[in-house]
Amino acid sequence: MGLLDRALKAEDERDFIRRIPGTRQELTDFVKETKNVKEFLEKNPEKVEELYKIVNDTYDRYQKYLGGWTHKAHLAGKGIGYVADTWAFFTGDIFGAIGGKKLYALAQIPDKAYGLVYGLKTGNYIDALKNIAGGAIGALPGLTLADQGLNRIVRKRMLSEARTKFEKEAGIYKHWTSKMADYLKNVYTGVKDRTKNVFSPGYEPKPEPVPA
Amino acid sequence: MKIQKEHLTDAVICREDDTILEVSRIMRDTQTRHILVLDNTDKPVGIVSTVDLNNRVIAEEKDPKVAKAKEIMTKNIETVSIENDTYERAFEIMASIGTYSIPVVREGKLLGILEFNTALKLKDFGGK
Repeated sequence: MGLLDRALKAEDERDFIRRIPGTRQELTDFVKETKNVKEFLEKNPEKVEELYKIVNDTYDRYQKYLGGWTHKAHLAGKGIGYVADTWAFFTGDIFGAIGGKKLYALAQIPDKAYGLVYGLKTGNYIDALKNIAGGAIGALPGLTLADQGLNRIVRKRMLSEARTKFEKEAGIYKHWTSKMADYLKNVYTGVKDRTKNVFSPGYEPKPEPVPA
Repeated sequence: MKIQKEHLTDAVICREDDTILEVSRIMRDTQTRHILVLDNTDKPVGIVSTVDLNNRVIAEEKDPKVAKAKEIMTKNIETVSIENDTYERAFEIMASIGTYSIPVVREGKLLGILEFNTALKLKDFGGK
């Protein structure tokens, strides 16, 4: 993705550095381009339909949490936050910057409240808490960048969930112990895959209640 | 708020009768600094740390191919139960004994690990 293309598609300032997919097509492309998924699909091209289904289901589940006006308010607040940070940096006027940070904090309330709804409805509480904690840290002078916002957190969740679901479906999912063993085999002797020595709580997000 | 499964992390384990050599290799292969010891019913009965390997094996000149995990583990470890305990309770236990994680059990059997930070974040989240 070229710089201009990236800038045009950016949904927040972090996308300039590292783009996280935000549309259905981008999400599909990202998952398809993951090294092990790509290798698997080259050998089993018929499985691409399963990938589309998983990506679509995941996108449908999370799309509404990408935020409309709440995300715009978040971005506008961050704009003010960056101005306040820059002011504090060049003038040393921390108290003046705090004035700007108050506006920043006000603009984050809808995003954080929506994040709470997202956490409660999907069971991804840690994501919701990460969003709130990011907002709280971002309210400090000089630290606006710490607040990534719900939109980006949800995009990351969609990517990891779609990829993991397809990997499990395709039988190419590797537990972290297995990846660790692959890496350590080049470092030590007699390294084994220790998946049997790990008790995983088997996290699965809660399905959303079906409306009556 | 009651402890929930989706907030737990992976627990690296060994068995009581595993040799110290095996224990240290499991720790190496998973890059962990402590490992839970389970009995044959999956109940956590102890913990072994890298410091234990130094102090109770190397310094005591024990043979790692012969000595067992149960001989060097720290016994009587605290656990919390997913059926009855809350994040607040888990937080209090960890704060009182000074650890950063605690094993979570269901009907006495290991389920996963609850981290201190998670308990701290969730202890006031949605009541007790």
